[in-house]
Amino acid sequence: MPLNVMDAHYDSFAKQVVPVLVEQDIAVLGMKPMGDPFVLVSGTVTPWNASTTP
Amino acid sequence: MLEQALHAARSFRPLSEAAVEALLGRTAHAARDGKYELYKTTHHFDGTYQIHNGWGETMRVGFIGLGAMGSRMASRLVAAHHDVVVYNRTPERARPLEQRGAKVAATPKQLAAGTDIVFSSVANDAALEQVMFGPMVPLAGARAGTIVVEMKHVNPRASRRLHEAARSKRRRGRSTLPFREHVQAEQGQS
Repeated sequence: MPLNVMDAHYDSFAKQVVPVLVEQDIAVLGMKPMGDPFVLVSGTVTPWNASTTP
Repeated sequence: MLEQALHAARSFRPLSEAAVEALLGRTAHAARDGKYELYKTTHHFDGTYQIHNGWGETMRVGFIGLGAMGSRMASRLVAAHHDVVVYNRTPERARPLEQRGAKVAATPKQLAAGTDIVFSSVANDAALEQVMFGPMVPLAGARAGTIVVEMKHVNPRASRRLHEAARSKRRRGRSTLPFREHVQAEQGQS
């Protein structure tokens, strides 16, 4: 599942929520992996590398 | 566009752990206070918040059908400080909303009296038939100008019938596109 490249560093969905969902066998639908446009606005990444797959 | 999407799907390779680390290293500084993840730090994507604060008005909303979808949508309307009246064929299902501040109507007709808009989110055509065309129908209780919105997948014939019944009483009947996931409803994203 793609998660935006900012997530890991602040109030992380990947760290806090995904393990609980996996444990309870709940599927996750990812949306807006570029944080709408804002992850790109940061200038740190391009669309080609704006999401990670944990 | 389709070809491009298919190519992307077929040529997809997961990043190596080292590549993920390198990528996260680039964003660590910018991401540390969440300022580019507005859904974590602001109300930017919170539709309920925007509507309530943008318009600043409280609507009188009736909600018929408190199943998986209806209960969550009605709950969001209560949370957004609207004046919400609910009705459910099994009255027990209305209790949690009553505890949060919704009023409970004894019949759809009573529910519709004095509301600006009536939403219905019932299980199927038979339930729609019962709440919309039975003896205590909301259309009978609604004043002219009330908007009636049917939210669920219903037979187009039932939808058309509701529209015609509403038009004959000079209420406005609408059938919406089906909403998405229950969680989205609960979070106000629908």
